[in-house]
Amino acid sequence: MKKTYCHSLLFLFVFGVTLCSNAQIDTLVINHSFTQVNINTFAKKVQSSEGFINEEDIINSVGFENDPYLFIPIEDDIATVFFRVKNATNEKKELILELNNSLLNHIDFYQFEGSQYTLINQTGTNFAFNSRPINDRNFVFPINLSSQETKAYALQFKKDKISVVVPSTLWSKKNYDSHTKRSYLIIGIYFGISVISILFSLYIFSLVKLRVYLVYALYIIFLGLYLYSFLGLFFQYFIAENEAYNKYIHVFFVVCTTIFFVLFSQNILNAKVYAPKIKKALDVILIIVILTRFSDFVLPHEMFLNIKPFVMRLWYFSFFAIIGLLLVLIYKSYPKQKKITLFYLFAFSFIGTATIFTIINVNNGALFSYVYGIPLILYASLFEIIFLTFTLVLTVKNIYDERNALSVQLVEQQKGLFNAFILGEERERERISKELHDHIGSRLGYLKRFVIDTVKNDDVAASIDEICNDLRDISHDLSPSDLTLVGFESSVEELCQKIASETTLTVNFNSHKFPEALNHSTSTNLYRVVQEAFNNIMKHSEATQVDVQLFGHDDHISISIEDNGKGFEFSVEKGLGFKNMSSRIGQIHGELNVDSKPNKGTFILINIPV
Amino acid sequence: MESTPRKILICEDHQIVVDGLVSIFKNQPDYQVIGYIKNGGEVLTFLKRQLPDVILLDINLPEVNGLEILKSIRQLEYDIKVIVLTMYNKENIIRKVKQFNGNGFLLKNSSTEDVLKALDTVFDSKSFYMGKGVKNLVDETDGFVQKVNITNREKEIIKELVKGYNVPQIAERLYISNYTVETHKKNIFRKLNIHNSIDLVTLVNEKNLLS
Repeated sequence: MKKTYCHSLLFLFVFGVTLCSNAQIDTLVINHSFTQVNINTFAKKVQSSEGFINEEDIINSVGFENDPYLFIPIEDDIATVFFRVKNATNEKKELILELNNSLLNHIDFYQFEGSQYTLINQTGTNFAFNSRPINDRNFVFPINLSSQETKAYALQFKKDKISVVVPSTLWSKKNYDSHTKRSYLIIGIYFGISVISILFSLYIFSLVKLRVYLVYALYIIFLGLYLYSFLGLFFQYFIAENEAYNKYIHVFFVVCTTIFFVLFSQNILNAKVYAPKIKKALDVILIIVILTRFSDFVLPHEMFLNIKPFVMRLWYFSFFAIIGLLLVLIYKSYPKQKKITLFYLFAFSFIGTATIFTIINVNNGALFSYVYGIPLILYASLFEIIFLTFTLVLTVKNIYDERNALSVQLVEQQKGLFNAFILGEERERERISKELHDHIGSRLGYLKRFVIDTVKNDDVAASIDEICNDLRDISHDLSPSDLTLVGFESSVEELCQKIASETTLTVNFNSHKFPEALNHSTSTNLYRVVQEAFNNIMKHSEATQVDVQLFGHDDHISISIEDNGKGFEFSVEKGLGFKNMSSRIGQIHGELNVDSKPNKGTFILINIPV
Repeated sequence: MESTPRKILICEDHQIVVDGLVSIFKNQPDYQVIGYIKNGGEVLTFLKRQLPDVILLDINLPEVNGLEILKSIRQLEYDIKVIVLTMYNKENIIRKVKQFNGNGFLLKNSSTEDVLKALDTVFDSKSFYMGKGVKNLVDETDGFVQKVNITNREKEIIKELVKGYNVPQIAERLYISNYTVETHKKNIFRKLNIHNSIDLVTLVNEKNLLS
């Protein structure tokens, strides 16, 4: 058969087999150069439902299939594999028979001597771990041949309504050891990368609190656990003595893995938004998967056995459905988020292909799915994890960029609010000031004249004058409305004069070619800043002298306020006063520069473009 | 006494003030109020129709303020006496009124007597300025100095400049930003009316600026 031949070639290529291309039913001859051989190439497989049959029956019976792998279809509850080996050397030969499937339920290993046969070993997942002749994740049997000795063996598999593939290899002891080392190295690399990815995604999750990272971590965890059980490592290293646990736990893990993989895919491809129908279909399939696979644990064993072939087919069909739906989802998501979908597609193509290979392999033994004695699915998930982790890095970058943009926006908004607050305050002050100054003031003026002319009481008139003066002061403090009347320069000059006369400060005012007309908001804001600066000086600086200077340049104006006070470490005293100042200067697109050192005075420099 | 009374125009947006003024002049045969205007924008239009002898002008008026109106009246060369009547009692306002050739300055809380005195004074071709601190406007010092002086910080910068350091070097030596030094330098040049460091060195030597 051409197909089988092809697979044989592939098998030969991958394993680098050196021997037994002309295998027949008869004896396998072991010479000095023997390293390894696939026992299917020389063994004979007999299927029967009645259990063991003797050597003659085996030899005479039909049914040998020259598969590259030992495949036992779902219908055969019992299968027997017979083989004979001869040591052609003059030395003792230690051989190892490895069955590369850690989930076999029941294996009887017989030795033949003529028509006599003895049961050497009885093992499988139905038995305790210590029933195994050699401590290994797979089922491994030692075969020792003295010089020129020939021995015949039979392996009998018993199983419950399931098809299994048993890649079986006969190794020389030395080659088996190096093969084992290599496969553990590959497994170790896989789990190392897996753990790094889990920690990475959990770390990201702790930072950004997005569900997708948690789901991804859970997916990788369960995928790891599934592969750990699928490779038989649970038997070897974790509660080895509990058969029931070891027999079924991989079912639980594979269901969880499937669930989290689908959830993760929905999440990263944003199925909820881009393809809500596909998301629903996937949800339905997930429920089917859960119900079918867990029926094993819920239903009585006999009843489950009856529906098991159907359940298994439904289970495999679900996988194909999931793969198909995810492809559609990828197609829908691609135009919306190209980079992420592309990375996901790479990852997906690895695990998807490996899953298809594995399912076909388990169901009819057709495709080969092992490399270096390790299932293809492990390599695929290794690449998958690498690509998916890259995908997550990309999404993190997206989120980071988005948040950055958001915080910039937020800062802008806050600045805007603060500006609006200052502007609103200024308007309200202006309004109150005008009200006081004009309306109340005018009435007081009238009242005073009335008091003098009619009541003729100078004391009352004098006190009205005082009230008027107070009113003017309050009004001016609230809003220097004369700013627009007399200009900024003159107002600042008067402010300096006023402070000089009211306090012990010596104030030097200087103006050099300062423009007469400034617009309203510029002059108001600048005036407030100068006031604020004086407030700070009087409150905190202990200065005795202040120099206020106004400069007009060609394209900007410059204001400097310098005191000889105690100064400060700028960062320490950056209170509301300075915030207010810089906000006001910001409003009129100027620059505020505050320069102060302890005991060196404070220097405020303002530049405004005109 | 002249036979024709002096015509008065009141520019004031507060009715109570207008009423007060009107009541002052009701008993004065020498004066006659020919109208009052509440909106600053309407004053010049009014003047095109009728010219008063004197305007009592408030500063805070809607649309156009009193100082602007005064300026326009003088530009248009109307022969009108203008007395500014305001709540502002500030030297710089008084200075502005003087600058624009106002004839008088009165506070709104002036007595009837003062108002009449002001009118008499301006028609006698004199100015009448009345307000707090008006008399000693020029003398007042109180530690307030207005002359070209060089601040301590500027002296520091000038010293560095004279030593020949450039802006980044000075910034580094004084622990301030380049920008600050640059601004100081520009301001100093502006103040001393010079354009380069050579001028500065000359000036420092000639006038002993740093002493």
